[in-house]
Amino acid sequence: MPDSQDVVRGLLSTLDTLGRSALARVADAASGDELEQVRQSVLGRNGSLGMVVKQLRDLDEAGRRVVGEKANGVKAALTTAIEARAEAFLDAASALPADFDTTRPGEASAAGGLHPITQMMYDLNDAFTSLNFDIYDGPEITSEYFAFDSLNFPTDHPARDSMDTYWLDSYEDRRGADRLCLRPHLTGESVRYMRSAEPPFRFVYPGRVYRNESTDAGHERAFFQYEALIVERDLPFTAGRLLVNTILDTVFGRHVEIRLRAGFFPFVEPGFEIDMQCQVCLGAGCRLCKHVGWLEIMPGGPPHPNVLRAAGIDPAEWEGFYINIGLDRLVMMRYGVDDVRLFHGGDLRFLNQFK
Amino acid sequence: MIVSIEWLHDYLRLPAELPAATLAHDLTMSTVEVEGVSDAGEALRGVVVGEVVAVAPDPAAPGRSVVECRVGEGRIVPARWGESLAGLSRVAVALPGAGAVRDAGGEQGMGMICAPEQLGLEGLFASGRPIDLSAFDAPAGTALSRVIGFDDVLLEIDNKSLTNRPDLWGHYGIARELAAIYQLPLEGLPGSALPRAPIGMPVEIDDPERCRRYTATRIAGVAAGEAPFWLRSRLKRVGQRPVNLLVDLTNYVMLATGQPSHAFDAAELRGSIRVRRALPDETIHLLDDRIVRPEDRVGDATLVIADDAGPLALAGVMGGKRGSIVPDTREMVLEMANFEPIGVRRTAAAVGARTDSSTRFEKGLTPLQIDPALGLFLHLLRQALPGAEVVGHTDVFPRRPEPVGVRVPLAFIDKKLGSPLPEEVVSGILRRLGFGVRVEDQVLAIEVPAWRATGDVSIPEDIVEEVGRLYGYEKLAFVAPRVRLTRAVVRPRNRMERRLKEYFASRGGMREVVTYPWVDDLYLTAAGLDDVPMAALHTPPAPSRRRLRPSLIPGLIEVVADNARLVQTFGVFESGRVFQPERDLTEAEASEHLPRQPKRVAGALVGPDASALFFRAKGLLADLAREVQVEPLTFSDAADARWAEPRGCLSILSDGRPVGVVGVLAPRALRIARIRGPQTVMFELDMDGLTPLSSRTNRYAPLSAFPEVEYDLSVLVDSSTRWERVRSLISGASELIGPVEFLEEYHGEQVPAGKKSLTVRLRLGAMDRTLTAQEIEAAVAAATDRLETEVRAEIRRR
Repeated sequence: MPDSQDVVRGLLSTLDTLGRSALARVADAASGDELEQVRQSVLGRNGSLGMVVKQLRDLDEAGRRVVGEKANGVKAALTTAIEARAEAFLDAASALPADFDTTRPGEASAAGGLHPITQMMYDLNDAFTSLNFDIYDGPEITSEYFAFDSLNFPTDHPARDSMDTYWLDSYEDRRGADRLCLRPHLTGESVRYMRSAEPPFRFVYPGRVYRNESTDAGHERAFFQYEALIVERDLPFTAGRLLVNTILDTVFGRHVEIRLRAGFFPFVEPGFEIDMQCQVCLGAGCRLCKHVGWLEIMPGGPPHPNVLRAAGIDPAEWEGFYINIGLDRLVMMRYGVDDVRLFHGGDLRFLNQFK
Repeated sequence: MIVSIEWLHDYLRLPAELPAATLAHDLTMSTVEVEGVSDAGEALRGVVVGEVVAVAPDPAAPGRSVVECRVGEGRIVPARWGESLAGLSRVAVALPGAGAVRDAGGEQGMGMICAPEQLGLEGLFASGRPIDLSAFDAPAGTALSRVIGFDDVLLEIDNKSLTNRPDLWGHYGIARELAAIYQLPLEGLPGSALPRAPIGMPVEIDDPERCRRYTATRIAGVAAGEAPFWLRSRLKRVGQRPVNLLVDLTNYVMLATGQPSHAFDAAELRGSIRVRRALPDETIHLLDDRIVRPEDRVGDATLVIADDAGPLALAGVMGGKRGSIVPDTREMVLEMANFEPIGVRRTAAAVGARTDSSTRFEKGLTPLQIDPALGLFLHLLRQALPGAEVVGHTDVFPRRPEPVGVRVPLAFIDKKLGSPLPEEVVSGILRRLGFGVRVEDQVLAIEVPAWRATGDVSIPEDIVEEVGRLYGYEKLAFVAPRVRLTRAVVRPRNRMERRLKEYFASRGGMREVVTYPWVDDLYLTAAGLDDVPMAALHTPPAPSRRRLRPSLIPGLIEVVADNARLVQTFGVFESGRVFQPERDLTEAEASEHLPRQPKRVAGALVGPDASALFFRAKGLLADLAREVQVEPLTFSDAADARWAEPRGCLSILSDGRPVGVVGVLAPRALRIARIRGPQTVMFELDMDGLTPLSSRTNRYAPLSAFPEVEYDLSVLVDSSTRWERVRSLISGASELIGPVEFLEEYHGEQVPAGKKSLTVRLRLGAMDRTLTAQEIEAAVAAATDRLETEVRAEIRRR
């Protein structure tokens, strides 16, 4: 019968050996599976540590305490080591193949986008709605009444001729509200808005207009205009600069200098030609601006009293300011597009250039 | 119109130090657009007066001469001339290196004796000969431009900006504006006493609406010789070729005052002068050799000046061959008349002869412009031909225009300008422009001068414009508009339209296109829309593009056809109005019968696999409501679209109402549109039929505390069994079965012919408990039982 002290010493030494070898096997484990084998063989139900612990019941109380503490220490150390090793294995496990190549191109998302003129239109709409402007959208087939009569165009103004206006077939003998055409400009349709709205108001009107002309790189039969109109009780016409600045500053993303000079349009009184500083030479003079530093960009002015009357608005009480700008030309200037016909061409090689 | 600054000096003393560019700028800002400023002597650079000192035969070319010319300060240059100089002593010599020499390919170190053609001076000097300067008192070496008055600056004025200003179609009108801009006194035009005696033949106006005044002045003792050099020089500078004294005078007076006139040879006139409509069978032989036949004229609206022998001139447009001034004309009848603009424009357009005269009448000259113009003509004629004698004058003036007056409170002007201007400033500006101004109690009583009372100035706003433009718009400070904010602007339809476009562009990966509203007949045929009523253009851009689109589909088919030649996989969409000619009762104008013009959006997906494209399009449309914030869209079989394959086509519904169609483009359409290779799926939605949500409408459902189970099932069914049938059988089998998701349809190995394999995902769960394995099995079994019984399905995997 061995001395109980010797038995205790023997068990403590077994535990030492067992712990060291198990820690070594943990460190050597090459995979999660091997690690699990180590765990099972040492800490499992019939594992080597359990075998030692089974012998505890043969010891006296003092021996049980000493060997028990040692066994717990070995178990804790081993458990910690196994967990750490297991986490290391998890951290090292990659979903990527070993030869994963990050230089391959990304997968393209579908290459859609808005038409460049729509983009510009929306940018302008955002700017004007931030100033509490309404957005109007009227009919494209309209009548001579709205296209010309309501705008103070004399009965025989050249623009009424079929040379300029797309009249609808079978309306040749009619006049005024009974004679239909594709709208030649937006201004007449603004009268529709004014008739339906109570002043004061301010609105913008983006849309496409039609002129019967021959086409070339600078001329189109269908093109887009952007009109803005504000009607207030007191509106000196220098206030109209706000409309012009809102448009140009939005388009160019910076403040653009403008100037108002005398011009004539039947529907405004007084009429203005509005020039912007040439954005190529910034006023120094270049080929684009014919060395004057300014580019004629849009007409504008307070609605003629006859136009306000046609819209059911008393010109003695209300004042306003219009501007009307060609969007195609603005987009062309913004991006350097050299042929206006591209906008209606539907050619994806052109359209896909616009983000 | 070209304006000579030297000519303007006849009427006002412009400051000598004023640069032409500044003058052009000021005129542009206040009055009319100056498009260009140029040096009248540009082409004459390096050309000087040369005194012939020696002439020798040209050793290089027999029959030609080498001439030595003194060109000032002892400098002598050699120059060549082709023939004899015939005793000329002072000629125009282009110095070596001058532009004119280079243009003529001259030799190094040689000058050139110039003929007028080489310098653009035709009509000022005898053609084909050296320019003879012996009549000019200028020392050798003087620049030719100085000698002949071409040391002048020319302004090119944009004619469009003169549309409403008939008074500015002559130098005097421009001078009047400059006098107002620079606050300078303006010289008057010479008046002239006219004889009481009439011209000795009756003058009648048949149509006083069209001819508002006709004056005829008979002048004896004239000769159609050469006009004075200074006058010809001015004409030449502003682009008018000198002809003879009498014709040049009419042109000069027109360019000075804006008033056209016409000179007849009195000896050729027969009986009486009548302003009348052209007779139905009358042919008019014009001065420029054009022959205007009855069929060239608009209806019978052509107005002519005629004598008893027939037409003499197209009123306000051009004179005729008969009765025109000839070299031996000794007595003339000068016509100065006023014609109404519209008739002149129509006549000029009909005969294709827009002239300086018709352009001016088209703007609406005042009939009172005749008086100063006639005064100037007679003044100049007497200077040039002291022997000329006015022997008769007839003035038919049926109705003098009423004077135009406007009353404008000063406060009105201040309010419009946004800055108060002193009364003296306002009336000073107006007076310098020729307006009569009286100030009564802070109100301006203004008398509009005749030359502005042509419809141009008639209301207080017009007066504000006069004051504003001459005071200087750029001097008026910006006044921020004062507005009352009452409510936010909310336009659900605008928002919907924008979201819809952004949805198709970004989620749909489609590119927005814009097409013309006039569609080619070919694509209308391809879309099967030939017999739909359509609005059409009276003068279409092309014969095959007469009709206005009743749908966006034909235009998109064209875009697909154009692009499919270059790329095989792409998506495009368009939004815009279509035109449906039937009365639209929603429009406010009772008398305006506008066609319906609904807004639509349509798209085309192009690629190799029609069915894949179809389901992509369907998925895009099904998800649309969520992204675009509209009432949900559903689909039904009952689609009617002639462009689509009947088997591959669905009607799109909103709230049960049809709002569009999605379908595979039919082979017939592909054939007609010549789309070869790729397949196309298209859709079209009526935007007016969609209902935008006024605000986001989401409903919160409490989250289940218990887990749901996903269960995938593969079943083999007849290939004619439709998904919707399978889905509803599964869905109705048990309350525990939630949404049934389509995962895959499979044909191929292990699937017998005439069959298809469908893989579906069931979602099972209950709000009040975790389902047991038995409950799940029972629910799935209920579903598979129904599938087996109802559609003879074979369960492949569960």
